[in-house]
Amino acid sequence: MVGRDLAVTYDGVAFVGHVGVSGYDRQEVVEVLNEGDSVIKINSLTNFKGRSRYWGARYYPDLPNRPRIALCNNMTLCDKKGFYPAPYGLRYQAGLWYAVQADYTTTALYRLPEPGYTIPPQPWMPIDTPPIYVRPKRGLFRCDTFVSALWNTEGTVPANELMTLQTPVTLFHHFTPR
Amino acid sequence: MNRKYILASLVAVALLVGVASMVYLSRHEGAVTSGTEGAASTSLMRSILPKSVADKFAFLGHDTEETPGGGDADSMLVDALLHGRLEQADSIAKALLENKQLDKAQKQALLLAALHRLKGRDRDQARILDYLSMLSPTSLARELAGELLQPSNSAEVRAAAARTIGTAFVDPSPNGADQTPEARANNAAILEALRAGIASSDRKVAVSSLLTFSRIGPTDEVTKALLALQERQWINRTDAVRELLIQIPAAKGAEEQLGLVKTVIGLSESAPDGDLPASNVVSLAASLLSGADAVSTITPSARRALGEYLVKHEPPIVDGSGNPSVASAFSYANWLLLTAQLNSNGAAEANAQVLAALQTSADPRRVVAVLGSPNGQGVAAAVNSAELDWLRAQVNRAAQENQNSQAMVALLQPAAEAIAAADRSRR
Repeated sequence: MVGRDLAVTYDGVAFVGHVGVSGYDRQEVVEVLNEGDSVIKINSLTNFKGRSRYWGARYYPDLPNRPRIALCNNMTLCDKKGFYPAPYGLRYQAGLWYAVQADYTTTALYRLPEPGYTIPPQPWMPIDTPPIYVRPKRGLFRCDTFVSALWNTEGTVPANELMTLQTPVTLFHHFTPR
Repeated sequence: MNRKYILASLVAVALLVGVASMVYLSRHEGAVTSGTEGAASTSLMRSILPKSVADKFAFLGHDTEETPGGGDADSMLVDALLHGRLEQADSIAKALLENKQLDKAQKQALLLAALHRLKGRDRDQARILDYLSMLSPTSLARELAGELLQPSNSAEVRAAAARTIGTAFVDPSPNGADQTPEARANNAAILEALRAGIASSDRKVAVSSLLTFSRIGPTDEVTKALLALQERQWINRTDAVRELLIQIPAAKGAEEQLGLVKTVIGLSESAPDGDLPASNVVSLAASLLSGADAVSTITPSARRALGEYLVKHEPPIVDGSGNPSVASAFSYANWLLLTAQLNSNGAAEANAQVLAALQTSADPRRVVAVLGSPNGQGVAAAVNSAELDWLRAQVNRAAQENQNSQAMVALLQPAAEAIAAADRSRR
């Protein structure tokens, strides 16, 4: 996880700080920014560092030892789950969410993006009804809830270590400096 | 004795009427400023009366100090937001959403009451709408449509109403929940409100409405609206391409699917430099569609067109620094798999194409990326003994050559496991 300053004043109350997720390779950052219409962004770490005072990177020391994460192979149907080592899996999950996208919220509550699915014809439907396809759903995130929800994928970072945290600053400082 | 009893009764009734009036006024007049007073007065009344008596009067609500997400949540939310206590408001909303004593209709009613009492405070109203969206407020379709369509509302509130109304849409389900007269009427009202929102002269309202409509509206209408707003440069090419790709499995018939693919390719090929790199289109297509069942939703002509486009835009196995990254590895693996699936008939042919591509490149990092992906076991299971030996040798070579690459190290284990699983199934 990487963090930087973000001075936003909301009705006179400072809401400070911004966090994103950087892979071990430290080349890029997946982050939620209240910019544009689809708010999950993939930017270079250089870009991230260049936009305001950089705080540095923090990490969850146990991440490489966490159990494999079961993830969708795609967001159209999620027709096959694969099991990934946690550091790779979290980045993969971020890529899937990026493809479906999310809206921005200033609240600490969030909704995950969801894959699409097909409903097979039911007995009560007219004969020859084709399968009905339901499209993927957009998520709803703030920068810190995106990071904590991502880390909590399949319980990778346990919920009780994340859910009481409310702001980017507290989330960032809760984890270990690199 | 009797006089004293009558006098005491009169005082009690007067007190009750007085406080009831305060509560009523706090909920129905001057809504915003009196929210705290309302909460305070109900607490005062509860502290005066014995609990057994207070509980008989529903308008007194519950003890707000002890149950922040309870029956007075609307007053508490309004109070917190009026005083800029945003974290407290979030906590109250979370407690309300998780409150097992209240049903969904009661929670919706409380949040709707807070929404109305915050009239004129755009950001606070948008916040309440975000809370409401967590409930999938199906019975509030008409109220939300009203907020979206109300011209006197700010663009911020209308845009928030547009995305919240999408969560009130009842999706098709095996139990036919979307087929009840109420659900059909609500769904129709939602789509109608979003159509009006898309036609708004305010960019924010139009785009928020469109991006909601795009996941629930008729695909042909979605496509037209996407192209119209993209042409006006109200949405960018990446958003347009994403939404068009998402329509493909929902589209009705081969012709519409082919049209969607051609439109995606057209937007990609006509993009000014840097506006929509082909790698973005490839990455979106791979994350959305890479999988046998997902590909099977695409008709042959659309598959061919998308397959031909993808072949021309192979993503590099390394990132900008020249090393494989987690992202570049999965991007390559998903691209190769999707391209093979689109350009073949059936899983066996697709797996053969994947193997042929890996053997042509002779880059062991590509083998690790593919075998380490969720589809890796399928690829390893489909090859013959000699080919499996070749894959194993490539994985071993990658392990020796890439000890400093975190991405490769993370993928070597699942890649080796894919080979081991194929070995086991052979015995």
